[in-house]
Amino acid sequence: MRRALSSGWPTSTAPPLPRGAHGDVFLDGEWLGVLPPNIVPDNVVTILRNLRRNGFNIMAAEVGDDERESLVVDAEENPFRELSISYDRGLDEIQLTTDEGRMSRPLLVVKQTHDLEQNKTELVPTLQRQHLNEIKGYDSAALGWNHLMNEQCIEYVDVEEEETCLVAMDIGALRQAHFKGTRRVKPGEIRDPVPLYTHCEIHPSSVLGVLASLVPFPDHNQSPRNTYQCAMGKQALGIYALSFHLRMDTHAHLLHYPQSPMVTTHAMKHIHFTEMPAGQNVIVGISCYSGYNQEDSVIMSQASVDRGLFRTAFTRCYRDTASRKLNNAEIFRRPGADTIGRRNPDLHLYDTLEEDGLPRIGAMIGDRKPLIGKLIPTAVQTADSQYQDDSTFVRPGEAGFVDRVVLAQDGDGNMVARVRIRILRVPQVGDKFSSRHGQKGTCGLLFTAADMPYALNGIMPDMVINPHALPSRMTIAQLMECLAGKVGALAAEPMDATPFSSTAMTVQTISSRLHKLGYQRNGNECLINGQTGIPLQAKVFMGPTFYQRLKHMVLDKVHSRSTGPVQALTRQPVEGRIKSGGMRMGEMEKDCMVAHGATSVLRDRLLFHSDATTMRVCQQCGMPGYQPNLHSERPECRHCGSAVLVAITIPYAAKLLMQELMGMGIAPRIMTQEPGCGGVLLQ
Amino acid sequence: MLIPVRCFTCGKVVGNLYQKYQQLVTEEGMSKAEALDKLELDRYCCRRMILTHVELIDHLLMYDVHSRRHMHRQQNQ
Repeated sequence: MRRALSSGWPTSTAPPLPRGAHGDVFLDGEWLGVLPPNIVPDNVVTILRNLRRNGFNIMAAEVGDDERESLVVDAEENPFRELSISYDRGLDEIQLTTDEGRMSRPLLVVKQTHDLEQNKTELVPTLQRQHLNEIKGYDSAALGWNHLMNEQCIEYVDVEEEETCLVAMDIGALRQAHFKGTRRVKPGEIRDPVPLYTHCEIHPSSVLGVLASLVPFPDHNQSPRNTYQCAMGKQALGIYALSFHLRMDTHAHLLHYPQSPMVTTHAMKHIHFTEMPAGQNVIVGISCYSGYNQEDSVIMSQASVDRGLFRTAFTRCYRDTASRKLNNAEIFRRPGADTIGRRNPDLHLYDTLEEDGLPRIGAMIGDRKPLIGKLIPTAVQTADSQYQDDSTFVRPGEAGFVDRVVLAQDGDGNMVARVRIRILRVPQVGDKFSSRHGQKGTCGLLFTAADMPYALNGIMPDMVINPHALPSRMTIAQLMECLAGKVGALAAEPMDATPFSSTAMTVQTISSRLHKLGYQRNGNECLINGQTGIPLQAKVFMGPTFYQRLKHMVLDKVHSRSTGPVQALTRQPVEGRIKSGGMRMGEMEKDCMVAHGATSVLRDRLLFHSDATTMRVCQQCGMPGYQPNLHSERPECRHCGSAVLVAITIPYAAKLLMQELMGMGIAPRIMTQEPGCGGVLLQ
Repeated sequence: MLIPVRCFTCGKVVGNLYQKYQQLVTEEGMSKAEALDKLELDRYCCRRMILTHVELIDHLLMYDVHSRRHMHRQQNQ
């Protein structure tokens, strides 16, 4: 196609024009040529558009209509089908793009028609009812689509070209445009009105992307909530690939029982979300009920969780390579008594491994336990120890069952071991859930069946959310989804919640349908308090709502430390949960303490619970003193010869700083005034 | 994946009804609502269990190399 475009280009016989003289043409960003002065760029663009739509040869533009007919190529074979043509008026540039990997989407082509008798100019889509009747005869949808493309009803427009197009939201917008257009034409004068539209959306909801298409009734939500859902939809757990049991992803979550949403949109079908959904239809009640759902937490039913609601499996892969160097090859093997550098002298630690250094499939491996046994040759080979332990251990807090073990060879001939560990993640207090309306919350409490409220027909909600989550956020669509979900479950049909569609999915129609099915029309139900047996005073709005389990779980976040590992250089606690590091008392936290005047807390946090060190300084000169042996030798200042040293407690980082300064030839002195005032006099 | 044994919400056993439901809908041409009524799934919680269940296990088995290899071997014999 590139060759066709660059060779078939009409070139001027006149001497070549310099670049930028008139209408530069670019092909895939590369300068192709300049338009001859007598050619209008708009006409070139029109010819090229026709080329794309018709598929006839560019030179055939001059041939007669009947000849042209024979040159029309089937859309399937049309090489120009995916060509993007855009003319930038400001820069006077025509950009032609044929690259692969561009995003493009289908739009209805809009044409102008002139009615000479009525003196009307109309904007109409090329797609007419006759086309729809024609494609009914085709066996497959793909053939029908091809036909529509052949008939120039539809074309694919990429992001760059979209900028130069005027796209109507729907047919209604086209009709209004026609009204505006005719007003500009004076009686008796035929003039082209400015084309208000060149294209029309197939459906207004096709302006939404993949994630936004998953929101039901987004046209009934406050817009930021739809945005939040678009961010959270990516964190929802489902089944991410059908081949998950063969894949060795570093970490993955799998939802045990995904359910397709009760309330769907048109776009979901095309995304195949209903076939591989990420969430479940949860019976949600909206009530305070004990208050364990305050501040965006949710109460969940322990009974539902026990029956498998939102159960997920977590898998993590560990890998190690035994590099094969000459003479000193690393090997996968269980470390034995002759292996030095073992993490634990107890050899039973390595019982999780087989002789080949790999664990048995199905074995439970505790956290911090060896998973892949690897030995590396020691630097100095002695008779009793030739190997040193370099095994891989399970990450703390991620115990699990061995799911899959793969032993392979990489390109350099090194052995590569991969081990996948799997563990069940039952929903627990602190796990995160979200509806499709930007309403996220963590589990606040798991009520036993006895404590949950129940309806007269035996239903007790799987989840109780707090009504305070709704007024300020105005996610009306969630309530509509709940109501429609109830109708959908009872009538056993999927409910359509496509935005901007003319279907009769209004609150009135849904609620009257619910009423006909024998339920309270507003979706309210009388619930009985499970703890007291007394009916709740207010009716509770209840129904199925699609909820997502999000990947943030307490198990991955829980962290505590009393004392633990410290950094070698500063002797301050290390950072990070995985290294069981300390909680950082940062600058702002420090400011809080300062504001409160809580100096003892500050001293405690920043000194004693961090890197407190006792060192000696000379009382005379203030330089660090020296006392090799506390009991036998006399203290002595090597700097001034004084024998009076004082023990002080300072942060190790301060000591380090002082020594670094000394290395630069600066003498920082700590002057202690008298014993008992910040220091202890020695001897 | 596989249908849960019990309705999450009310605890009614629904795991044994999914195949019957599919049979009623595909073979006997019943509407979904009729089939659910026939199976005496009255509450909307149990109805959504059957209605919205996604049977992925058949798709997953397509990736089961071991059993496919086994099948292949059997075919060759």
